[in-house]
Amino acid sequence: MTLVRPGEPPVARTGPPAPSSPSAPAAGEDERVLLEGVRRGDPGAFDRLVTRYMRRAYAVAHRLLGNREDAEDLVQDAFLTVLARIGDFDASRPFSPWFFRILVNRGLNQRKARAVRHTDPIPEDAAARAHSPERQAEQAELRDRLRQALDALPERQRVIVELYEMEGFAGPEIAEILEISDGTVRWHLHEARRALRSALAVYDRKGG
Amino acid sequence: MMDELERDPLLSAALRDAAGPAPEPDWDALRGRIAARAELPLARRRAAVRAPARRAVRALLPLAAAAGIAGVAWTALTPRSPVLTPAERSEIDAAVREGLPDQVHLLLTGEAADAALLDVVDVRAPAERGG
Repeated sequence: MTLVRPGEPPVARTGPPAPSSPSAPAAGEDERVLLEGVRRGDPGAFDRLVTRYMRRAYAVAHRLLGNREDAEDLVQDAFLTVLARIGDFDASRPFSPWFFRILVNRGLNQRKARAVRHTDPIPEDAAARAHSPERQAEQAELRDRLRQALDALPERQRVIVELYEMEGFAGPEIAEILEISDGTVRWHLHEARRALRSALAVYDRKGG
Repeated sequence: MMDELERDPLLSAALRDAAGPAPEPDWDALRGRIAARAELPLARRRAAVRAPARRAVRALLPLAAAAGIAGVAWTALTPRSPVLTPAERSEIDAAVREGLPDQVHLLLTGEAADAALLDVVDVRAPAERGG
């Protein structure tokens, strides 16, 4: 799936603040200077760029692929693709949406290419936080329902939910990453939320 | 605008809980692997940055060589009149006076008649034979 659409105007970040948003102002070294260093082949500049985006990239990659090894491979591929294509990057535009577009596109391609999806098991301590066996069972059921509901979403809705609800990206950022309009993001998110809340509503009725 | 869509903390928390936390990788190892795989592409980038400068130098070398050769030729072929300072001239005169018989000096200075040349020959011959 190719989502590159050159010439799209930069989208200003709006909406509720997301502390870990990839569009947050870059701390310290100016990102343009950093990218110019990468363009010249400076290993130090590339390493600083990797350090700056690595954690965020891994979180999104793991969200897309569901296991650590694949997520690490995807992060590596995304950074190497950045290096290969840095000459095409428009330095007047923000780096983050361009980078995450590469990562998400590659992640989605990998997800589609998989016949069987292997995912990391959910750690035991996630369930152990519950107070009672009944509560643990309820939460386990809730998780199953939500996972099923998430898996049942159309691909694009699922990605939007993963980026917006789970990774804290802003709507305009998602629009730029997926190269769709803000309105389309809103619509997909609305539809996805309705489906997911239905899953939760069943749980509420059973739990209430 | 997206602002109209409020975030739903409960739904977000439930989704995160359902998906479970992502296992932490070894960040240093991951960064190291990325750096290792990036070495060659980065080296290519550096070479690509240097290539135009090298091409410019290669293009300028023949021009510089031609300019050098032209300069040397011009310098060699331009007639130059020796310019002696008064001190140098008097030093040469003194050497001539001391090194040559008076007749030669008179001949060179135009003070002797042409016939005096024969006397010089007579004078020089024994001196050279003796030397």
